Amino acid sequence: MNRILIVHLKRFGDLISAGQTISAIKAKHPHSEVSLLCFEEFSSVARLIPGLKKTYTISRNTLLTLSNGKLYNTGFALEELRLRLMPLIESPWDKIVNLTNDLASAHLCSWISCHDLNVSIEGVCVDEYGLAVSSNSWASVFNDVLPQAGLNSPFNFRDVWAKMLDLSDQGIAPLLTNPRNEETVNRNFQSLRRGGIKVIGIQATCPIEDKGLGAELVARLAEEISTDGHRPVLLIAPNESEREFASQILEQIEYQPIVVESDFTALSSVVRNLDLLITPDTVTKHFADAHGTACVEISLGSSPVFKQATMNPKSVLLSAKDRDFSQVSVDDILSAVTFCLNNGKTGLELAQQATAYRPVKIADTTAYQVIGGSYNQDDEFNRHATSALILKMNQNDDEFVNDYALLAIKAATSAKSFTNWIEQTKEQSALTMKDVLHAIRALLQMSENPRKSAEFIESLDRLFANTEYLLPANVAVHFFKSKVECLPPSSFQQNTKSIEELLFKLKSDLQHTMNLLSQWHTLWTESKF
Amino acid sequence: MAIDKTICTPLNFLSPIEVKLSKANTPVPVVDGIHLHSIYNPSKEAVGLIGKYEESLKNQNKILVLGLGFGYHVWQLESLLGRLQKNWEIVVIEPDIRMHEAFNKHAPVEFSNRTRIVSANSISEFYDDINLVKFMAAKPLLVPHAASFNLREDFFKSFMSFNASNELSDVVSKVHDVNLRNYLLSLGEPTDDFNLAIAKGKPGVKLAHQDHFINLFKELTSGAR
Repeated sequence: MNRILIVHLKRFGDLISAGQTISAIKAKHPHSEVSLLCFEEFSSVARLIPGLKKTYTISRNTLLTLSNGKLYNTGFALEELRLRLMPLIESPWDKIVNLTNDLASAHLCSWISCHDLNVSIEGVCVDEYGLAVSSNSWASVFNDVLPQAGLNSPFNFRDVWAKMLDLSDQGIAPLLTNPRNEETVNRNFQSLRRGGIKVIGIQATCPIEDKGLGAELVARLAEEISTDGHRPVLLIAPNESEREFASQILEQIEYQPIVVESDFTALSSVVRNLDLLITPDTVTKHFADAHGTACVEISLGSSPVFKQATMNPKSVLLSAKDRDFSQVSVDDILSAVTFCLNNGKTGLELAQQATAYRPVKIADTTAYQVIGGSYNQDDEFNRHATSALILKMNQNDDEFVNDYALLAIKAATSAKSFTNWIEQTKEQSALTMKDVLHAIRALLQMSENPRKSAEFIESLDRLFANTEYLLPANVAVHFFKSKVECLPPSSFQQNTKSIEELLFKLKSDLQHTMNLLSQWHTLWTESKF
Repeated sequence: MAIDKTICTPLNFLSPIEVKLSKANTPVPVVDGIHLHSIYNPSKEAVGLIGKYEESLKNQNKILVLGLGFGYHVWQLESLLGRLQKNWEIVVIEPDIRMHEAFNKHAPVEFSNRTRIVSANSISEFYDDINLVKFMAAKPLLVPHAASFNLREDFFKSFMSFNASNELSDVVSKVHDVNLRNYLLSLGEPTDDFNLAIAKGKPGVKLAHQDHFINLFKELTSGAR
């Protein structure tokens, strides 16, 4: 019997997503007992994750109030945390899986492992020197590389978890539902479906203001969907502000859509029984992905788009220029709805400011293929090339390089744009290679004469200056930097030797980048664009 | 920051508590000539006092009442909460222990076991009560009993603006685990600021389990005072 503790100190949406990974762990280790540690504030969705032995919680709000409030002695906060965590060290664990990439979770995992030296940690922890240590190279992608990716992430974080934990097939693992809710929702939605009518849920609100759609747009959307012969259903949470928002929507339209008010447990049944969901909210999107319900995800504002976008190949991800919702029109959303309802067999017509993507599966990961609208071609090329390179560098796997190349080639609107990007990236890679060679030379000089360490440090600084963004030309430097930062304190000779090995690995990885660009250029030439 | 010694000063209320009967034949405490409830009908007065909180009580099930008096307002609060909430909890802060004793003696109303009256000998003693601290940390709705509040205004103002000591020794005094206490005390002098002491840590020493625990605490509470 394997006893596994999952550490997840993030919010609702990520926790639902973690539920899918937990199900995959259970599938891989059917006789294991899997428990979860999460924040109490988000634990209401943990109840919907199937197969959990136990859920442990930390109340972040209580800790913050007791430690920040002037009224209270901070000792009470320490006691609160200690008492919450004591059960974790009283239980024996075989493995701790850290699905969070922050220092709190890393110290937590190390704290537990200090009490039980036999426990293994997957993900990040902190070693005795205070350095963050990743369990494998995919853990490093999760902890060091993805946070640098900004809006153009090469991987969805759930795919990276799967790689980190060697989970090959995640499939769909539905969240739990309440049988009574399930029966009621199913019966009601079936009664709406007569004559081929589809039931389309619209997540009316979004807790983060710049990600929301606005009452006017939702009202028009509901009206147009009903005009198309389908049944729009407005989804709201059971609170006064969302009821108020729903009534603002209803005031603006003649057709009165059904308003479904549901907590997370009921939402699980509602989303499961929809034919399609339209949502700007990542939490509801994660529900849809968990149940395999197709969705039109509208990713705006501060959402980190591809890092946490829908992974369902039946869904469409809709984004907009400058991530501004005013750039996404009702017509764009309706076009995506029609596209999804027809399983991608109809065309997609979008206004110039919107972009649509479809999730496609490559190498057990999700890539996002642009399928309509306007977009920055270099962003598309960079994302697909970075994904291919990370796969190559982490698992020496170039079987899928051509699949990514094909996605990039499909995104190219002209021969010039693609070949220009290849030339530009080659030049950037050559400059990075020059910095690497300079660092190797400075290191060799330093090993002969330690007084030349300043030149070597300067050469490292120059290399690290290449990691401000994540691009194909510097992805190898990101890995190098992450490994250098984790080197434990050691003798001068040992440190020099370790860095030398890492620099030669970096040189080899950069060579992969050059090779990939040449390979893509050949593919492009052969593609007869 | 040194602790303000006035908050440790024993609460010493000298004025006698008289008890009169209202027109409704119910007892009313009187201090320094101030009637803490209506001399005509305390229960009816309480309906008016508590009625204005009805909207707030729909969204709040933890209530902190400032001032006990003879509890008519608390009793009315219990009645309203019973209608509006499935689960609820009331804590009544009464600085004058003699008032608490007089209330028990005359027992004009009987509270449910979801209501707790807290009295203490000093303001800091109130904040030593972990159950009260946890209740207050849950951000309860504040319901002052105006007559009691005005009578003990200085106390209630000091109570609500209390500044807990952040000296290492004071913080450690609340920690039950001996090993953690010893570890924390090894981080600095007893009068050192707790946050500065843990920020400094133990330079040059390899991290062990207590270091990870304190670093976890720092990360989870970052932005602390």
